[in-house]
Amino acid sequence: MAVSTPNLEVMDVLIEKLAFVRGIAEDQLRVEIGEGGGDLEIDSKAGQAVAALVEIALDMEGAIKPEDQNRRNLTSLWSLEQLIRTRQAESDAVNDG
Amino acid sequence: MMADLVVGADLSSAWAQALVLLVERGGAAFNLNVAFAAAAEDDRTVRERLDDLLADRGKGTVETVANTIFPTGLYAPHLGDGAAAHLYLVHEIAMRMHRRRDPNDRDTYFNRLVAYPAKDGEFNQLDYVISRLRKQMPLRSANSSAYEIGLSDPTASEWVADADLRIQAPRKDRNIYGFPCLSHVSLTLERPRLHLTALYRNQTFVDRAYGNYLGLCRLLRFVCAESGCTPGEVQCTATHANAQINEHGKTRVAQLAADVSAMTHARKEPAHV
Repeated sequence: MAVSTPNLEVMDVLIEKLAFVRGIAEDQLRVEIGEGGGDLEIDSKAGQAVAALVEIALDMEGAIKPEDQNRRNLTSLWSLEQLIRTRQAESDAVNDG
Repeated sequence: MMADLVVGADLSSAWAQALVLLVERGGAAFNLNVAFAAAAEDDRTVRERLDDLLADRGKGTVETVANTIFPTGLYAPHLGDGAAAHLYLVHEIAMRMHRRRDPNDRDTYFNRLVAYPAKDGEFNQLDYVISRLRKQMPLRSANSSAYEIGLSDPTASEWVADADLRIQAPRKDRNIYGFPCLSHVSLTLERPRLHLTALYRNQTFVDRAYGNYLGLCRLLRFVCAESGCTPGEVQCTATHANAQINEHGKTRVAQLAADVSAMTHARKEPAHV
């Protein structure tokens, strides 16, 4: 999976949805992310919920594949952002084609 | 004699003792009962030792197994009266993603507790039990016991048990060796303490038992937090307990048992000054 700098739109949606799942304010979550050096460890179940919510928010439902659902992809904010971006790019390419 | 009872102060020491017993028995036992206090935290050094082996063997972590019984990362107790409803909602969202996986891995134990496949749709057994416990807790003559699995149907109109959580679904679960290995969870109220008993038809002690115990502890703590009870004891019965010697090798399993036994014994003994 390609590694690149964070996409602000995807990251903003991720933070909004993770804050919802955790039942906390986005500001509080951003402080935690800052303290974690820009990344945050996520429980894998929370990762599944966030991924499902982000798919809907970014209009890419079904883009995350069964094989994407592993600990590496779902257990940190950064890896989840990379996964969403990769699948989003694939989805865009199909639509453009 | 077939049945055994292992009692530990916490799940780590109970699991370690049970694993040692299984190794001594050649790798298997029938009607193995393991009991421990639900409120006690597990020993992280024991968990790390097991997680290292599971990673080496390409297996899921202890936390992954525990999450199938209670997804602790989705529970936000600081939400107070809305915490349980939030958990059920977020769990349902997570399950939409989970169901895309392998057809044999589309359900979880927690999902059976909150979305039991009943004749007329899904039924939230956990919510029902918590409501019952909230009503029973203030009563001096509170109901204490659950009914037997053969008598229970969580959706029947005459179902009045206060603490009966059925996992196995007779109409749906036809795979002899597949999900679910955990058949039934029973809660017993000894005001204000609440105890949990779980019945496994088959339990693997390297891959699953530790995570099972951790998940059951978290499940009991959740029910207690939502109903006003105090976490009591978890007792887990494995009608068939398997140390997985054939899968992981006798030397590896025996070394794991020796290591975790030493870790839990070292914790019990006070340090010499």
